[in-house]
Amino acid sequence: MDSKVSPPTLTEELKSQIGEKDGLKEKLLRMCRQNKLAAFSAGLIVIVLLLALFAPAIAPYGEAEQDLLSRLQAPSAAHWFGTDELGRDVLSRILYGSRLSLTIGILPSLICLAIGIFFGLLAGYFGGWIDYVIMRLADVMLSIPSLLLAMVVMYTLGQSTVNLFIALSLTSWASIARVVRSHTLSLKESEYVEAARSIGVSGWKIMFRHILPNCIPSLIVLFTLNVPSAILSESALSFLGIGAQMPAASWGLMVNQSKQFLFTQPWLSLAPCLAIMVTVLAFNFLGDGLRDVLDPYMKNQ
Amino acid sequence: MRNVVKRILGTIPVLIGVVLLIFIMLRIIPGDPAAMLLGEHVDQATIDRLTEVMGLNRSLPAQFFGYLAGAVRGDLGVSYKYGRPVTEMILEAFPYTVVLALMAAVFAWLLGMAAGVVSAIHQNTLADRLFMGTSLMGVSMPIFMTALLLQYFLAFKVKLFPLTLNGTFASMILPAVALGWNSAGSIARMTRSSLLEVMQADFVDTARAKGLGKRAVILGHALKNAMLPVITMMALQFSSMLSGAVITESIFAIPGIGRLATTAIQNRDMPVLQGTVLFTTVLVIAGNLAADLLYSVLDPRIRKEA
Amino acid sequence: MENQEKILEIRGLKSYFYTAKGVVPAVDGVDLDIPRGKIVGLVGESGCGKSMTAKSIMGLMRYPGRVAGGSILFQDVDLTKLKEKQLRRVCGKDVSMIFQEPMTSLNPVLKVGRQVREALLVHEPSMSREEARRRVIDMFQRVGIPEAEKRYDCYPHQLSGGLRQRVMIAMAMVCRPKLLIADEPTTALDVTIEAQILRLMKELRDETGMSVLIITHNLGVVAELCDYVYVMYAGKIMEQADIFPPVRPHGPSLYPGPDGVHPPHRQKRF
Repeated sequence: MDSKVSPPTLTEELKSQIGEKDGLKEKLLRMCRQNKLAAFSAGLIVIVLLLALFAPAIAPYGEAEQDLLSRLQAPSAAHWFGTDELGRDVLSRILYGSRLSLTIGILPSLICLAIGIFFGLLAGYFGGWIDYVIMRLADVMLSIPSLLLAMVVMYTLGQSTVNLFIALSLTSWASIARVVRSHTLSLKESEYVEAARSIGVSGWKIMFRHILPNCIPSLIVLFTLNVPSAILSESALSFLGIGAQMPAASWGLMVNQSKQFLFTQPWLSLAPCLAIMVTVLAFNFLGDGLRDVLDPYMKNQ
Repeated sequence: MRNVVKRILGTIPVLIGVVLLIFIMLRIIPGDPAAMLLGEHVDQATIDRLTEVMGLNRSLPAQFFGYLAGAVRGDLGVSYKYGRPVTEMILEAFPYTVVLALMAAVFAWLLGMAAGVVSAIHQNTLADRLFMGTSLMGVSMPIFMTALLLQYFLAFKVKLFPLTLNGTFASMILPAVALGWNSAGSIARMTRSSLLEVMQADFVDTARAKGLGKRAVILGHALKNAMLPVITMMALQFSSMLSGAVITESIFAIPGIGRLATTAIQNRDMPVLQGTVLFTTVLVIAGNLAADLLYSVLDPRIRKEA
Repeated sequence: MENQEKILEIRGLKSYFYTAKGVVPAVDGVDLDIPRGKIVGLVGESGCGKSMTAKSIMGLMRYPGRVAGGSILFQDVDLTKLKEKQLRRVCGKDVSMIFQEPMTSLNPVLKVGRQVREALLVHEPSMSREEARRRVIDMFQRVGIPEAEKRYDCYPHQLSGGLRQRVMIAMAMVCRPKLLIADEPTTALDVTIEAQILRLMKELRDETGMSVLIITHNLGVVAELCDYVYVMYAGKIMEQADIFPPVRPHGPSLYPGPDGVHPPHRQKRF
């Protein structure tokens, strides 16, 4: 680059260009400094998590507390987001609903991550027929539209909240496995893995001690971007009435219940929709920001 | 040409895998499907008769190969609920979903590309921030939210469009926009980042050194290169669009494949669910294939290497 | 040099990169003249600002870099003062440029013939496509591309490195420029091809009487080709000298040796 004439003080941009390694912590701090939106989103996610955690303490009314005398009320000082057809406070239901929606965003994503890591390492490290079988299975999983796949699981297992977890845990490991596999394939040939192998370190140990840590930046990004899509899948299934079941509060389910009042009490549908959108948006912003600092090469994948 | 054939043949193991996976997943249900269908007040003889009619008394492998052989010939079994051939039901619903998905794809493609190109040209301006903010919001909105918002404002408040499907073209516009909105966001973001990356390439300098203006460089040179990753993503979007069609069809009362699947779950109508999922997956695989072929048409390097 | 008619006069050119952490001067007050019909070399180590000087002339500086001061007089018009549209009318027609890496400098998804034809059509919009095609094929033959008709419909990856650079030269030459800027035109090529390409550039100069600014870090190339040379270091011009006759103070450090200084074909000077 002609720009580096007299050795200038290394800017962070230049540092990252010449591949000077920052630790994970430095990278995260840099993201917070440079990408205000991502930092704001991280803060927002923490707030949403806290709200979910302390929902019983914060919510003005109970999760299923009915007040049949004040049904379908417009937003007011007593009920900020109004009340639904059974006189339940919409704000309280959204706060309680965040527990289910967030758990379902995060927990199945973790399970997907574990499955994806396991299969990806296996396929990439051992290659051969193991690789072929795992990757064809991943192809199969990726070919079936995710919502329909989750619908099949829900059909088989029956419609319950627990089964919703299972359905979402099974459906999106394939893309994670692909990324881990491609990392493994390139790291397998690296000198330090060769060195480890030459002194007799076992395959499993190489996979988990030497290869996996190098995948972590990509995995953090994948996880962060998987959470919002899991939240959206949950809301879609619950909206169709084949996800979370009453009386549990879930954002998707709330829209399912309130859509019949769309033309008379539109705020009933709008409030949970906004809750989903804000949460998903925050995760997407954060994921984008993380990708820029942790895994710039993934941008076009 | 040989490459095309090879690529098509390569989808066969995946297709068989899909049939097998769905088949297994739908048959590990605890309990006797015949008994569940008939309800509680039926004697064992009736249940046995139904089991035999449904072919459930055969071994699982026999059932699988029977189903596979049928599927290849276009026979996807008979609906538990309606007693009609599943293929017939799918063929009735199929045109709705295809028209919906195609309209949504065209909408997403045009809007996404246009927003992405404008954002890339005016990088870091107000217009760029506005477009990119909107598209990330588009990506983050659940489809039912887009659909309900459109329905409420444009069909109920302003009455520009019919509330639900009534057989006219106008009544398909809102569902298509709702369905395409998410993808438009993804495509816009992808187009922008891909175009900005291509604009760093050496050949862009060459084109400008020739005396081409900014517009000619972008439209004549950079866009074609930038489209390559976008096409790959379009194929992925097609799959999520078919997922989204399930929601859109339910909101706008469109009797398409997605509605078929939703009602099949409510009716516990296994053959219909199996058939619709299978059919949709075949559509996705065909879409991927088309994207691959389009990719090789646009990128001469791939065309010749293969 | 002083009394020769100059086609390009650069005075006090400054091109800076404005990064978040401060200003990096890539070109820092460069004065440079190119006489009509002469080949001028610009040498220096990598990163000294040679390429940025060339890019500044063509208006190709990219964000966060831009021309910060000075003037670039081409036939008495200051290129730095031109609007983008006016500058594009000059670029490719009167001043054209060849880049270092012929693989990445050609668009991989467009046929090479089309890419060269475009250079012609953008400056002569009234020309018919058939006429343009014929001119391009003529040009291909002129720069020594065998089977020019067939190559017209090739994609860049189907050509060898040497052929690609000939395509680049054809693209630069097709509008008969008055000044050709060649940014390390042979760095990516192997030695035999390099000699061919250099000879071609010299022949083209002799034929058309154009001026050439050749940027390189290879003093052999300078000795082979140039009438005059500038040496650049850290964004500034450090030395300048006629190649013939060799001047004394800078000589020993600059030139490869007496053989290189007196190439046999010097007499062919335009």
